[in-house]
Amino acid sequence: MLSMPELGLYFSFLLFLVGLFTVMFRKNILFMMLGVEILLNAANLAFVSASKITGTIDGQVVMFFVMAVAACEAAIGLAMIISLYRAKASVEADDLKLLRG
Amino acid sequence: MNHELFLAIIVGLPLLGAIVNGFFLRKAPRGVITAFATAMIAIPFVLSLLVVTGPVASGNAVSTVLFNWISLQLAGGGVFDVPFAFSVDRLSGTLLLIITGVGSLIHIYAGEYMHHEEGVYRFFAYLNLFVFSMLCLVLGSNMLVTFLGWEGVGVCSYLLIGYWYSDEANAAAGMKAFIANRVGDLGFLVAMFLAVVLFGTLDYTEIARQVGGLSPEWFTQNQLLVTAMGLCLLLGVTGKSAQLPLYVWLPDAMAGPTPVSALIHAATMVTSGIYLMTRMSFLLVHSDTVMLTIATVGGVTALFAATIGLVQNDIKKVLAYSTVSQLGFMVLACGVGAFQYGVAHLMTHAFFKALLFLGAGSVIHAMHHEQDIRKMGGLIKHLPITGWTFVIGTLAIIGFPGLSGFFSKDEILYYAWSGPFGHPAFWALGALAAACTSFYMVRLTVLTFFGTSRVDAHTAEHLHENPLAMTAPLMILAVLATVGGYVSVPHALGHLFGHDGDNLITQWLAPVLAQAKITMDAAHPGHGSAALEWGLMGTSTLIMLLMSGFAISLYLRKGPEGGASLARAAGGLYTLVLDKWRIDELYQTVIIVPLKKLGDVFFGAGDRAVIEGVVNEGPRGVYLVTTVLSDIQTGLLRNYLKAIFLGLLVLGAWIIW
Repeated sequence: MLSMPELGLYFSFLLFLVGLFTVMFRKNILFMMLGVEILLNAANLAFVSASKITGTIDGQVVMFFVMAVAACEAAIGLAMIISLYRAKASVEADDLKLLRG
Repeated sequence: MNHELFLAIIVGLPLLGAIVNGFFLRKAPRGVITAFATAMIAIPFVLSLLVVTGPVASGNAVSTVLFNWISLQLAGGGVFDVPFAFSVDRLSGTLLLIITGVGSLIHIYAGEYMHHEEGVYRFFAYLNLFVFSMLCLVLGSNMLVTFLGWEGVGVCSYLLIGYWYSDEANAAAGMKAFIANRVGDLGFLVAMFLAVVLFGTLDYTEIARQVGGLSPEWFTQNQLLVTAMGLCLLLGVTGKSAQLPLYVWLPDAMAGPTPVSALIHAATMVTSGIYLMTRMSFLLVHSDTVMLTIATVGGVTALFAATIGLVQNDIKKVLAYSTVSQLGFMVLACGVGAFQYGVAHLMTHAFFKALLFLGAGSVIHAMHHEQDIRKMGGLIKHLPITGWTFVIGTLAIIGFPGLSGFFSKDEILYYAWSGPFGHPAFWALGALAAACTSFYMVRLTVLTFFGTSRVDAHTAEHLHENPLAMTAPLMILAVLATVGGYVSVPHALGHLFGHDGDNLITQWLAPVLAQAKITMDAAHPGHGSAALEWGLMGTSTLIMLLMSGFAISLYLRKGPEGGASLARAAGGLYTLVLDKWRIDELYQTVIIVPLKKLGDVFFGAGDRAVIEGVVNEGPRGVYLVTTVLSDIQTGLLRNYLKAIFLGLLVLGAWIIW
């Protein structure tokens, strides 16, 4: 039987895969943003679980930093999506192909 | 007085003139350009007079080293130096006076002649540059400085022949001259290499000193190299002095303005070959093969070019072939060992041929660029000064007794028979050429200036004598063409002029030619006598009078039609001569067309396949690669994300295993 923090680690791996597939396969930028959030939280869960397993506080400290960064990222990302929508009337990633070679 | 400094100024001023005219006087008024350019030649003329009449006449060469041009450490530990040095002895002094003196007169004349042209600054810049190069050529104290001038006059000749470059024929004539000259230059270059191999130096004095000290055994051992060097020099001479087989450029060179023809293609540049042979006389006389080849080339050229001159109808073309022929006389003189008379004829020829060319230019100027003598006639009424000076020039060139050509040409003919390398056959070539000369020059003069006028009415209205700036040089040259010959009074006539023994030119050039004379006297004593001299003189005078009379009787009353019956009698030969013996066509078939074919082969196999292959296929390959690379950049976010995560995966896998 797995202990609580170990279960947390496996769960964080699953959560990371969910986030990864969301980012890779969704075409709507809003959902891609959501996927990124899930990725970050998967990382957070892994940090906390690892902190519990090793009995040190470092992982939990890092988690707070990640949460702060995630908040900033969400704020800036959403603002960019809004202005993008205003400019292009679309939030579909495939419509943004200016970098095509 | 500092004569070394004078020497540097003499060479430097024409160069300064070329630079200032070419770069700073582009917008200046015509008068300023002309006056400046003329001064840049006239001042050196005055200085040359001081130098030549001063130290050079008393027997001291003046030399100055400007800087050390080339200095090489040899493997054996020695040093090979080529200083950029000038020196004047009696030979180069003579040339120096001719170049700057006749050059000044022609500059004055050209100022008026080019009056209506645009961009005269260019003309005078080239002309000054030419004089600079020519001075380098004759004043250089070693072969390399001479070679610098040798190349320089070739370039200036090219630039000036193509002066009216908007006409394609002129540009082509310039290129022809340049290329024919380059072939000759190759000979000079190889001769220099051989000089380094044989003597380890390029300095004339040093080579002469070494040659003087060498034993007959050395010459027997190195006969092949000495002969090769002489023949290479001769190749250079045939290019620059328009001898067979490279003479073809000179008649075409008449495409340039007439003052250019007078200065470059009659008086100075084309005589540089004679200068070179006289300068190297001490070496040439060591090889009989070389001397006989030189004499043959000269004699054959003299006759060959004279025959073409017989039938030409362009006033400048007649003079051009006459120049080739007269140069042949000079080369013949060098070849038979009478170098001093080569130089004497060089000088008298510079006077009378410059006079004739300037006279022709005066006619052309007055006739609004008409050069066909069939459309002239009776011009002496309208152009009296030009006409009578032209007559003097003609009398001088055909060797009328008392005028300059008589003395210099007669001496050459006498030595062609009796000189150290002379032979009656050479005399026969020369005498035949002289006969042709008398005929075509008298024909030219009669058709241009005498008889009935064939000038069209429109031109006739404007026909008048040219201004003093053009006629004054003619008159000065006419005086020089009359008296210039008295430097080479024949031996037999010497006592009439108060000097028994050697005449002036022989005395004057004795120090320069002493070494060659010793060699020649040892091997080939001359076999002349006063009786022979009188006999040959009488014969050539008789030939001259007969041929002149013949030409007058043909052309004076009937005009150009006078020669028609003669032409019919000659038949195919006449057309052949009229086509200049088809030498140009021969070169075209034998040399130029095969060369062009070879060029086409290289163009196809080398240029097209290799060079253009690399240049064109290289970029095409790059283009293909970049197309693939740029297609990867889809601009779609998901593709980039996939790449990022795949990359992460690979990295992660690599770290774990």
